[in-house]
Amino acid sequence: MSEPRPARTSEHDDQTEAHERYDVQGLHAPILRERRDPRDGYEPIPPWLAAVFGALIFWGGFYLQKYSGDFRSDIYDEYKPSMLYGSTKPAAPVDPVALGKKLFTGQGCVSCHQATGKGTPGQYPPLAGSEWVQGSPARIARILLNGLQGNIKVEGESFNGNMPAFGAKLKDDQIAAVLTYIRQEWGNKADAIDAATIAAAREAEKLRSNPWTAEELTAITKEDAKPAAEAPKGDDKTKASGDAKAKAKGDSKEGSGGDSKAKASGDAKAKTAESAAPKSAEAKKAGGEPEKK
Amino acid sequence: MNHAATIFVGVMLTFASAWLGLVFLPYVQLGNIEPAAIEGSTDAYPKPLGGLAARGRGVYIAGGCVYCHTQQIRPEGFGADIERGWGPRRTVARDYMYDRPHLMGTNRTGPDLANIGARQPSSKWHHLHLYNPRITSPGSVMPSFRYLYEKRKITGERSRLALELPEEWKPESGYEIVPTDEALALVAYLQALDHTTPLKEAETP
Amino acid sequence: MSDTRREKSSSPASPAPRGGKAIGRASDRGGSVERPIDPERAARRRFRVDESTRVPVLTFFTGGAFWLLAGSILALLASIKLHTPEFLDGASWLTFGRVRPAHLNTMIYGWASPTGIGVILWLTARLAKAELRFPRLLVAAAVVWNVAVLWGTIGILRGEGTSIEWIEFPPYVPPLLVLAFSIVALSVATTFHDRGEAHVYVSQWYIFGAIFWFPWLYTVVELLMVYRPMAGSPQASVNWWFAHNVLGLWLTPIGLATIYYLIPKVLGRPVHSYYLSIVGFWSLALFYNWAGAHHLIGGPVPAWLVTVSIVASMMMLIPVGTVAINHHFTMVGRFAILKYSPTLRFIVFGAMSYTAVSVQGSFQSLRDWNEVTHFTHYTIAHAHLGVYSFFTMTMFGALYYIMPRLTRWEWASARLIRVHFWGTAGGMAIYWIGLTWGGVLQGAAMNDPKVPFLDIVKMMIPYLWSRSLAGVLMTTGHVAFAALFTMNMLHLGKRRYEPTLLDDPREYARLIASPPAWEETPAS
Repeated sequence: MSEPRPARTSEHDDQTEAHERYDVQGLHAPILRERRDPRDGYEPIPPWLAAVFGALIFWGGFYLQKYSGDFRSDIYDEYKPSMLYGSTKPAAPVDPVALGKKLFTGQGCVSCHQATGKGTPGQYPPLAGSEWVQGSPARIARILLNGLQGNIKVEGESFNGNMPAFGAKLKDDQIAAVLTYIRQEWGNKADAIDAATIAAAREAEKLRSNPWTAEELTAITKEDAKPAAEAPKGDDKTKASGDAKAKAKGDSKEGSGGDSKAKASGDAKAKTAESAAPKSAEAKKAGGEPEKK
Repeated sequence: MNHAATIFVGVMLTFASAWLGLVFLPYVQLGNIEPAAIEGSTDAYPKPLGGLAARGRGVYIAGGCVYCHTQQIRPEGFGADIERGWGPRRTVARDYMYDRPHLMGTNRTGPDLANIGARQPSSKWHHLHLYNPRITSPGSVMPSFRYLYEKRKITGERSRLALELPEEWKPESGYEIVPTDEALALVAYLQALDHTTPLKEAETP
Repeated sequence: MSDTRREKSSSPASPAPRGGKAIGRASDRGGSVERPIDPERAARRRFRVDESTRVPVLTFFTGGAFWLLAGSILALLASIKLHTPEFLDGASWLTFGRVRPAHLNTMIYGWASPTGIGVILWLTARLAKAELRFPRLLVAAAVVWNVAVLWGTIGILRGEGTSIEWIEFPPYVPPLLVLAFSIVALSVATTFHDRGEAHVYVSQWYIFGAIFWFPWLYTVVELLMVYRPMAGSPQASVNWWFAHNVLGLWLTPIGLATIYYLIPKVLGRPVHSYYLSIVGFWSLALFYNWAGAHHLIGGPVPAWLVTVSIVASMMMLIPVGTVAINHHFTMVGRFAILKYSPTLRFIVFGAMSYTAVSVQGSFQSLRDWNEVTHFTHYTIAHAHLGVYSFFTMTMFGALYYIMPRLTRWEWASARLIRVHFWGTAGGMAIYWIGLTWGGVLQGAAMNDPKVPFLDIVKMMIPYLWSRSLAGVLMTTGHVAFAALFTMNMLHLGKRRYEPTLLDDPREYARLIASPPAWEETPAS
C-alpha cells in the first residue's frame, strides 16, 4: 500500500523557507500520504475481445467498400455508387398530379402552405378548400406566374403576405401540374389545368412584372382563350394590365431589393419589363395616383 | 513502449494519414471547382455575391446566425429537408464554391436558410422579422435584431424605408423605425441566398 | 532513444548525462532490475519535482478557474435566451449568436485547455521524475494565453468572431495562442527528454500525442480557414476534422493520461493490462483522427468522405472498449473508495462518461440514427457529455489531487466539495437527459413534413428550460469550486493536517489498508 513514511527529511528542510521550517507536519502532509507510483499490470487481452474487434474491422471494410461511391468527388449519394447522373432520366410523360406534388414540396410551396394544405393561421392562406384555388383557372395561373402581394381574403379570413412569382422559374407544364395537384388534393375538387391555359395566361400578361393584388385578380372575369397560338384579345387587355401595373407600383411597399430581385429572375422577363416601362409610366400618368387600400 | 522515437513517429504517421484523408484529398477533389453553365443560357452558376449582399454576409457572421440556421439541404429520403420545402434539391460542393468561410451550420433551432431568398423574396417581410421575429412568426425564439434598426423622429416626410409595424409594435407617434445600412445589407444577403438552380451532380427530385 | 542514452552514459568515456536537471543518476534509470526504493529519497525527489511545477501550474489553474466562472455565466445567458428571447435583448454584444460562441471559446480555450496544460506539466514532471524546464517562460506563456483568450472573447462579443465553429476567435488572437503553446510544448518535450526514469508510462504516451497533435491541428485550421481560406465545401471538412479532434486528440488524451495516472495512484495498485493500454492508445491515434466528417452526413461533401468517417467512428469502439475494460478492472473491488476520495469520485465519473460519450458517438454517426439527431439539441447534449462530463470532471478530480501538493494547503471544506460534485454531476445528468430526449423528439418532428416548424420550436421550450435549470446547478457547483480554489490558494480556513475526505477518514484508512483478499500485495 502506501510507502513507509520517511523518518526525516533533513536535507530538504534546509531548503525550505523560514516560515515553513517550524511546520514540519504541515509541510509533509502531502508527501506522507502518497501511494506508490502507477505501474503496469500484465493481464492478457481476452480472446473474446479480440474476436469482437476482428468482427468490427471486418464490418468496417464491408461498409467502406459498399458506401464509398467509388471515391469520386461528384457522387454524393452513397446508395448509388454507379449512378451516372443526367443520362438515365426517363423521358416518358409523367402523371401531372405526381409531378405537381413533387414541385409543391420541391419549390418550397409546402414551407408556407404546409403539407396539409391548411397554410399557417394568420400568415399564409390555406389551399385546402380555398375558393381561389378551386375557382377561375385564369386567376390562379396569374398568381403563380407573377406572385401576389397585399391583403387577400381566403375562406373568410384575411391574410397579408407575399406569394413569390414562379413564372420565370417553372415551365408551363410544370405550373399546370402543380395547379392540378392543389386543385385535386386535400378534398379539393376542381378540373385539371393544362399547359395551354398557362401558356395563354403567360402570353396575355407578358408585359407584367409586378405581383398581383387581390382586387386586380377579382377584376379578371374572362378566361383566357385556350389555344396558345391565338393572339391575346387585343388592346383592351393590354391596357388593363398596364393600369393594373401602375396600381401595383403604387401599392408596392418594397425597397429596391425586391425589384432588382424580380428583374434578376429571368432574362426574357427583364426585357419585357424594360420594354413595358415607358408604357407603364404613361399609364401611370393617365391613371393618376392610384388609390391606396 | 519505452522508445520515445517510436511513439513520436507513430503519433505523427497516424495523424498525417487523417490529415491526408480529411484535409488534403477534399482540397484536391473540390478545392478548384468551377461554376457550371446553366442549361439553355449563357449564364453560369454560382455567382459571387454582389457588394451589398457580400457586406450582408459579414453582418450574418457578426450576428452569429449560423448557430441556429443551417445552409445545407440534405438529399431526398434523408430527413425531410426537401419535403419541408427548404429547397428543390440537395446542396453540393459547387453551391459553396465562393463561401469563405462556409456557413453550413450544424443546428436547426431555426429553419434552414439555403434558399431563403427564393422562398421569401420580400424585403418587407425580412425587415419585420429581423426587427422582431414575433411579429411575423408568433412563438419564435429567435432573438430580436433591434440593434440593426434605428428609432428616429419623423422630420418632414416619413422615410421610404421605415418599417410598417402592426399596431402593438409601433413606436410612439411621431417616431419611425428605419433599418440601418447593416440591416439593409443583411436583407440583401438573405434575398441572395438561392441554391435552386439545377445542377447535374445533384438530382432534382 | 532512452536505451541508447542509457548505454552511452553508462560507458565511462561518455560525458555526463544531458540535461543536468535530471534527478538521480543515469544508472538509476534501468528498469530491468527492481531495486528497493529508498522511501526517504523518493519522497524528497518527488517534493522537489512538485516544487518545480508549482508556480507555472498554479498560474495556469488560476486562469482556468476564472474562465470556468466566466464561461458558466455566458452559458447561462445563452441558455436563457433560447427559451426567453426577450431576456437582455437589444444589445448587439449580448445577442445569442455572440454569447454562444463566447461561451464555447472561453470554456475550450479559457478553462479546458489551460487546466489541461497545467495537468500535463505536472504529470510530465512527475512521471519523468525530473524538474520542470523553463518555469518562468511557462508563467509568461500562461499570461499570454489568458490575455489572448480575454482579447478574443471581447472580440467575439464585439462581433468580430469568425462564425467558424470552435475557432471563433478573431484573426489577431491565434498567433498569441500558438506562441504560448509552443513554450508549453518545448517545456514538456525537454522535461520528458531529461527524464530520470527509463520506463515510459502510458500517461506519457497520451501527453506526447497531445502536445504534437494540438499545434498541428490548430495551425492547419487557422491557415486554411481564416488566413488563406479554401473554397466552400472542403472547408467544412477541415472545420470538422479540427473541431472533432480538439476533443479527440487534445482534450481526450489529456483526460485519459490523467485517469491512467490517478486511478492507480489513488488506489496504489497497478493498471490492469499493459497490452490493453497499447491497443487503446494506438487505435485511438489511428481512428479518432478520421471521425470528423460524420458531422457532415447528408451535407455537400462526397459520399466517400462521410463513409470513411462513419467507419472510423465505429472503429472508435476499439480504443474505448479497451480503455473502459482497463480502467474498470483497475477499479474493480475498490469502488467503496468513491465514498471518501474526492479525486477518485470525479475521476471515475469522468472515466465512465468517456465510455458513455464515445459509445454514443459511435452509434450516432450511423446514417440511420444521424438522420434523426443531426441538427438537433441532441448533438449539444452529446458534446457536453464529452467536454463536460468526461473532460471537465476529470480535470476537477486532478485539481483535487494536485492542488494541495502544490499549495501545501488542504481543501478547506468537505461540504463544499460535496456541493461541487452533486451540483455538477446532477446538473450534467439533467442537462443530458433533457436535451437528449428533447433532441430525439425534435429530430423526429423535423423529419415529418406535416409538423409546421413553429410547432417544433414551441415543443422544445420545456426541454430548453431543463437546460437552464441544469446550468444553474452546474454554476452552483462551479462557484463552490471557485470558493475552494481561492481558499486553497490563499491558505484560508482551518489548517488541516490530513487530506480532506468526503466521509469518515478512519473508515477510509481501514479500507485502504485492507485490500480484497485476491489482490496481490504491492511490493512496497
